[in-house]
Amino acid sequence: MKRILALASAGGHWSELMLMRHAFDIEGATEVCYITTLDSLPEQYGIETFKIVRDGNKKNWINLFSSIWSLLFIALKYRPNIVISTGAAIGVIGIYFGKALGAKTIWVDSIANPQKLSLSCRLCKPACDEVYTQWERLADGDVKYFGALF
Amino acid sequence: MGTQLPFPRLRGMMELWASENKDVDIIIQCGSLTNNVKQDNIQFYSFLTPSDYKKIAIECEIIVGHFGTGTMITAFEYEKAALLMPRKFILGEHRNNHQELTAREFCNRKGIYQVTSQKDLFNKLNYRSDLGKAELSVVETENNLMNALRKSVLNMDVCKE
Repeated sequence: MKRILALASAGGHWSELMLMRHAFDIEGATEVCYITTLDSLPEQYGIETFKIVRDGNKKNWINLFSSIWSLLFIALKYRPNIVISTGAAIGVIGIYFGKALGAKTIWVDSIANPQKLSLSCRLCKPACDEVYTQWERLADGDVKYFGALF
Repeated sequence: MGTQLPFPRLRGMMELWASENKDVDIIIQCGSLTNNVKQDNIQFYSFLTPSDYKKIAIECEIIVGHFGTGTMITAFEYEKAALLMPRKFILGEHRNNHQELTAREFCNRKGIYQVTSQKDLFNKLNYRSDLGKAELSVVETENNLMNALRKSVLNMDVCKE
């Protein structure tokens, strides 16, 4: 059983993570711990294993530090084999902690970035084993394109 | 109107339209700057819980919101028409201008309508019965994103303890 940490901040990033959920939440093959930033959002999707952290972004450093701290704790305790994220800030942090702990890391960039990879994606790309874009024009050697979620 | 930031420009337009259309019930989630109050035909919420959000999404006729993926996905999931206004970076409505780019890519999808001005918004709201409904159309090819991700997750060599 592979342990997966799946992170997305509340809003569009989470909605996209939920749309692709069945690609990595596979009964008998994976167990997934979900992390998001809004209370009761995972329960809405019938998810039992989850953690809620603060929603940091580049304009809110206090929350960002709080989420870094929580995510470090979660990553150390859960010891994921794979970390997967659609964004944003919490995903970047999760990817780096996952990588540092020896996990494989996957980033799926949000469909909301048609012209340029998101800032989050560019920040954590060096620590990603796989990066997917949902726009063909953004694909290159490192960034794969297999169509979009919708 | 979004999870992270309020959107007063769109809220103001909806308040004006609501005052001219008293027979229509409007629910506005508008961020932390307001109390949960009812004013005439508008029910304001600072923040909807996910379960209330879902209930309202199922029952509503039209979704009006910012041009974010979350709002679009709600429209697809519950098959509603969505009138979406991109946030503008120059007006300080978002950290960058990506919603304008998203709008350009998605405004031709069935049921997803970009609104560019108050006039445009009011016009679409007044003729709302003419609007199409959004549908989630996933490309069912062997090599799609879902299959690629699944294969990748299943085949990844991970350190076993």
